[in-house]
Amino acid sequence: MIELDVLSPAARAADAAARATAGQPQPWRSAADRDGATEALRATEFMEAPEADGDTSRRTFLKVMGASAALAGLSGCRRPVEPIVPYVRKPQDVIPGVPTYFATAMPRGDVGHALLVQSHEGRPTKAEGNPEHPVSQGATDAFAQAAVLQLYDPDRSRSVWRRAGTAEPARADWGAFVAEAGRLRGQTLAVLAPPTASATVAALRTQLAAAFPGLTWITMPDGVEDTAALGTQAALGRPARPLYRFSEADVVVSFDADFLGAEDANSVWNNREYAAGRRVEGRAAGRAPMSRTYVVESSMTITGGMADHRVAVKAGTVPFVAAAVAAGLGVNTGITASLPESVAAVATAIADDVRAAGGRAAFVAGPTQPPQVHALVAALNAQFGGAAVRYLDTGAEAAQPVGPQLQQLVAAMNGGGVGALLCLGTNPVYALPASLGFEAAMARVPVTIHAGLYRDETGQRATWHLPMAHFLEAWGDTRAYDGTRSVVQPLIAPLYADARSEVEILAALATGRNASGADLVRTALGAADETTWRTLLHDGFQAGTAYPAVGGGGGGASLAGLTPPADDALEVVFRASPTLGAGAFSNITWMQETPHPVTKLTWDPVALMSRATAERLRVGVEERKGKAYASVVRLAADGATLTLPVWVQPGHPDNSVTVSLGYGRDLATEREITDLSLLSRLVSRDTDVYRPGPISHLAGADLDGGHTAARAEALRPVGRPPVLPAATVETVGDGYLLASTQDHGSMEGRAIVRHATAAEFVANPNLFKEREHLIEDTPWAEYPPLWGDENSASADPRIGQALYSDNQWGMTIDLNACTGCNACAVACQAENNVPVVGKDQVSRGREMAWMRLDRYYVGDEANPGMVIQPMLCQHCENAPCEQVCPVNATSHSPDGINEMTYNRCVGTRYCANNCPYKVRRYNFYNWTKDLPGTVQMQSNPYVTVRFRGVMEKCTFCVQRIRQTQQYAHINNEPLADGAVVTACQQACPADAIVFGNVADPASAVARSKASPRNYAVLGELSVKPRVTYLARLRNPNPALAHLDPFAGEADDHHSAPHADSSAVHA
Amino acid sequence: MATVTSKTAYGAAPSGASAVASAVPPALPSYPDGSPLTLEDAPLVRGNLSFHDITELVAHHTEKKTPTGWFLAFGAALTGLGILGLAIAYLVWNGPGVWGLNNPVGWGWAIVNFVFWVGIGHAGTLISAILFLFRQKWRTSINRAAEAMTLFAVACALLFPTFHVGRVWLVYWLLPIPNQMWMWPNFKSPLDWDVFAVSIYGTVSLLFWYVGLIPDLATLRDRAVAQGRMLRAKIMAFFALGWTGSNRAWRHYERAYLLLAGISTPLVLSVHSVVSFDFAVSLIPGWHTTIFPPYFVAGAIFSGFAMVVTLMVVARRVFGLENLITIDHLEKMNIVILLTGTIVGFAYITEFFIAWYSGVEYEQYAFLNRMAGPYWWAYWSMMACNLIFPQIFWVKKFRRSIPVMFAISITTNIGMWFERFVITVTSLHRDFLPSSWDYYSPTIWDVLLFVGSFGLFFTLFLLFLRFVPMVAIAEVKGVLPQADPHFYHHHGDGHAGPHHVDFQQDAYVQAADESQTPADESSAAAH
Repeated sequence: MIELDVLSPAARAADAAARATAGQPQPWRSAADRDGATEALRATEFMEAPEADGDTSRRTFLKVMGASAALAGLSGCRRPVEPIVPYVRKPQDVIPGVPTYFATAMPRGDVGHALLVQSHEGRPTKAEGNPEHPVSQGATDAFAQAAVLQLYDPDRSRSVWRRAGTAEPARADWGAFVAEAGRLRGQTLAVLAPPTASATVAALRTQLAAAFPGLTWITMPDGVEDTAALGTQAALGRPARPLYRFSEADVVVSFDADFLGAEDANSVWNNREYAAGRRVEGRAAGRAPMSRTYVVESSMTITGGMADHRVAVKAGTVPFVAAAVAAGLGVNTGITASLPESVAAVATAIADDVRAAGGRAAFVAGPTQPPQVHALVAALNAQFGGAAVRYLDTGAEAAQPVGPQLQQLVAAMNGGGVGALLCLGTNPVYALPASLGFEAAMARVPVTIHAGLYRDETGQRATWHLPMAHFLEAWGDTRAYDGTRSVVQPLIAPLYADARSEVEILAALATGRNASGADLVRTALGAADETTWRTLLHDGFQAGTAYPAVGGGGGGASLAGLTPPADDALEVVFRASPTLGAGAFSNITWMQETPHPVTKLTWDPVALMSRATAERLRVGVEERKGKAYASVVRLAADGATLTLPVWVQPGHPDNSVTVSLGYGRDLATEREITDLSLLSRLVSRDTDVYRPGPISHLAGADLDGGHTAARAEALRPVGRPPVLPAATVETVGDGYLLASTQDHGSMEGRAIVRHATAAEFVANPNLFKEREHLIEDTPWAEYPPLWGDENSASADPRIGQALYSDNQWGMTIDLNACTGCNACAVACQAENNVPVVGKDQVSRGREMAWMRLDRYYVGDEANPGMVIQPMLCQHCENAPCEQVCPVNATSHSPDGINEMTYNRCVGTRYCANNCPYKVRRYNFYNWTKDLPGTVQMQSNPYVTVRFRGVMEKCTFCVQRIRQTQQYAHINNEPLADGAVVTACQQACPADAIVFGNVADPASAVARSKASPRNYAVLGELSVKPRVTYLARLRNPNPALAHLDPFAGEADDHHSAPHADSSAVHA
Repeated sequence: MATVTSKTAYGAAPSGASAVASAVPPALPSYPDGSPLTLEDAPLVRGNLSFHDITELVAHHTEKKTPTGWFLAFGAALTGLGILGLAIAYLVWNGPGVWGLNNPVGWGWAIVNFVFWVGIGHAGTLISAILFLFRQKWRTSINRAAEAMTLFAVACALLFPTFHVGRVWLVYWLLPIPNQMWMWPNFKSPLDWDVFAVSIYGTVSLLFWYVGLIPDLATLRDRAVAQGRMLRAKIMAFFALGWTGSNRAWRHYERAYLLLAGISTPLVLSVHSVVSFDFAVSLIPGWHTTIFPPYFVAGAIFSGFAMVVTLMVVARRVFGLENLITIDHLEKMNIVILLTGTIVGFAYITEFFIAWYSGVEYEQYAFLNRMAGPYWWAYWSMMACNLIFPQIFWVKKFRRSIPVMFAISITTNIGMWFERFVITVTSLHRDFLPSSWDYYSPTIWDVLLFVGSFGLFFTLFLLFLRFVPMVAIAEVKGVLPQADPHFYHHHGDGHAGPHHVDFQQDAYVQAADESQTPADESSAAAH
């Protein structure tokens, strides 16, 4: 409240005197005022204080003491008052409470992901895909969603560190480094840089080469050797990048490529295109009803889960399957191997199908495959994939294997041939194999400079560590997968004063002076014209800058030189983690707690293997009281070791072990980590995931040898190939607790995920309706619900007049499009402030995800089919949760949302018990009590942060609905279909989720619900869910019907249930 | 231990048969024709006790110096109470996460224990009210203690739903308290019905118990005056509400008692029916069952009687009340246990049949999972304890054997706890979507809260035993032969001092039972 002081007569007099001296006229309001007649009035207008200061009467004493006592009591039950200070000078375009959006791009290696980032009062909170960008089209992958939390990661490096000689590193500042950079000029400089598509970096590299003669610049990809570039170079003469239009392909063949998974740089595009190719509705005449996918792979991936036929073979065997396919297509590869009969049958079938597809085939090779396979795939695509595959020329320099370059560098470092080393956002001490000896060599280099988001393994050993700015606080540029150029523009000044962007660091080294990132980028992009520049910033990308296609191809189909792996040798396959990448997201709580899309494991690294292999090695996973306890094995090769718990993965090839990169990190944090006092430890359950230290240290923390024993990077041979042909294994432990979010992998014959083959569906589009799981001949109409329509909320006349009752929200999820890529789950977490609970709580079954992806296996364990079902609150019209809540904390909105009023919830958990979908999530503890301040900055201000003891669940992003409705209401226009987009829907690259007003028959969701594939999960319970699913279709090759795991698993399922399921557990 | 004699009434006892009310059943006459005894024939009170004997026998325990044994027991109970306090404090401070609950299993031990205690709380009011209305006079010896047990069990039961909520400081929102927001509880929710059912039941039971106590409290008051213990007399006088024992007072009293019995009777049936609605109204397979209300009531009576037997077997021996709470009383309770246990077992089997007959795969799975799933041990413990073990009571010898009935009463309590565990946990842990299936196991804090609730129960029960007449003195007197209006027509005016009661001529023919020793037989014959 604003209170203005009443001027005392003395003050007024002084004021008037001052005016008179200054020659100013006396202001007056009325004649009486001017004449001083109001002075008398004024004197009596306000009651005088009854007594003078310092003279406390009994009355005053009682008043003061009474008020003090009341306030003292109140202060105990109210939160402390924190004044909100409004903007003194309001920035232009910022309206408090109304978010703004900025177009930017997230560079991941040499691929940029175009984003539209939400900013609340200058605080980036949520990333969405840039809807106008040709690749993103508004969708993102899980990493882009998690990038916002990385900005606020409390373990990010905050200051410049300098190590002088052998002393311990000490804090320094940016200025000191710039001065050092000036002194370094002329040294032999080696740069280990990540792959980049930035024009600014390219320009600065030229400058750097001028300043540092003999500059060595090694582009070190994250994770594993980039075999694709080498292979395409062999086939096409240039390192090229395949761009798949799966929508145009009738046959898709993957050779160990998880092209739908987050490890593929173009997964967003691939998911959308692939889903389009699987859409039966609206197919062009003359084409197959949907594409047919064959996946030959060395681990179970979500791509394998989508496959119509999946073959599990060792990674080393995949080239021989490819050779067999090529041979069937008349392409001679120079090698043959005797394949098992079933595999050979699939290879023959693939060849026949590809031939029949008439140029509508697409071959994909994965990062685990040697360059020759990529070359073969390029050749096959050139011949058979004309409609679906294009190879793009990225303009990159000729590809060379990185391994030998690194070996040369290490030799030079050891020999004193390197005066200064710059690790620009790379982390070679962590990422390079132990046998390379990089760490020892680094100690011999006089000046080593590490720049990174974290003071990581390399940063702690370097003579200089520079904190790098996050892409949301830095200027830069990048290019999308297809080459479309984007500007990386900051949304916030760097949180830490010393943090600098990649280009600023390079500029400082090249020139010895400070330079502004904005200027560097603008200059490099040649956007001197202000309009061009502003348009670029507004759009976030420059249309028409896609890479040109490479012509030619056809050569390089020889696989000669590859030898089949020995059957009994234990192969180790290194893959980037689908949740952590190759380590870039290891310290992000969201990603650590996001379940692996297939295993559903959180927090821990594992060695995936088949049951047969596990039995041969006498290891396994024991399930006790709903928790999984795994054996721990030590893999060893060439003196390097890797310790991991075991996970038995259905569908994994025998004698092969898949391990994930990105674990075993060792970060130094500047965050103050305080131990709890003895008293606190006694009386309080500590549920703060941030308390023990850097998040990445929690993964594998209980391993013998500590979490760094799980660093798969160490085990690889020098050249960093993705496959180690043979490793030795010993069992080193037992009973390692693994936290999985799903204990049970079988549907138990229940019609939860419904499926049929495309042929069946085309022949009889009503088959899903006919299989509807209702008790036969039951006259349902004769059994009115217990709480009849006369009491129902929607029949209440007052509801009909409510502001929001015009729209009845509903959703469909197309199981034929959903691949299980996790983007929706992380998007939901980011949008809705969903807390992270830590490994221990996940293992107790208390994960908080509002959107989960249920994964079920079908068929036998060696060759299972896999289906994914996103599961979220179904917003039942006849909601079982609402009826049982004793305090009306969960209720139905006029627009059909099952609402949760957190403030009203007392936490009986009855609603969760009565939820047949088990989507309600309970705050067993106060998960958010101790969140670091920076992490709190990520929170969406439109979504309540929940206290302990209350229930929560999916709200259909009610904050978005209401906001959109309010704008429509203010603008006095109807709410357009598609105006409200939920977070999961927005992120989904496959457009599997459709949301909208089911009351409007013209809306997208109503049309989707009219699909004959539409069904309600557990619809027989008569809960009338507003979320329905479109049944999954498969397109198995009739010639391979005997290999189809779904065959014989008819989902009309009146099969007898069995209590102790022998079905797949994982 | 049981050495209270009736010497105050008799002075020097003339003969062994009438002088001692001891652990050894007194020698009693039998039918002259030796015809087989029936249950109804057995006397309700043994030992040839006079009115005064009864008063003495019961009141004595509240007046004597507190025995060391009581202090020891009370110390143990207080330790349990302390554990309860600790468990609650830790729970409230940290949140329900300290328990073993997880996502599919939102209710664990807390609700199991709630239903367990509510079930135990059934026997008291059933004995007091329903048996009263049915004129079952044998109830008089046990109803006071059973009602006390009910009250304390309900107190224990209320703990669990109160503290199982996440924000216990707001638990009053379940009550329909008028407020400025016009926010009412959801009257559709069975949890809210629970609130009303249990609180009404607790209130009425308390009133019923207290009303029944009034004449006895007056007796204690009068005795305290006679003993010169004026403070005690004042306290007792306060609680006796000025009872005079006048005809008018008795008339009012008996009318009030009858009314309360009438009010309580439907409550006995409704409370556990309502508790069963917590499950039956939901749609979870294994919960959504129309058989639950009668089955829960039968189970509650089953467990309640078992608890009464457990307590009475000990108390009658410790306090020397074998003549008041006779083996015949215990046998009658054992028959109820046998009956209700069989009803419960029948319900278990019916559930299975219905699950199969329904054709609903979720139901079928839920019941197969109970039997053969990860919690098979709980299911089979329940089956053994509730259905199989009580069948031993078909044999009269076992019905009347103290060790056997004590063992069965304990296994029944265990079995009924497991029944609630099986219903609550096995239904929740695997319901519709297999992706959510998980396993529930309790933590130490679940266990401590349960242990602590026994601490609360025994603390209250020991206080009751110490300060309140544990047998309804006035009511027991009412079922003595002397209380028969025609008794003194044959036996003088009743004021002639020690008198001889010839049971053979009385309506209450007392006879030796089968368990009596030959020595008893001979002394009875001598008599």
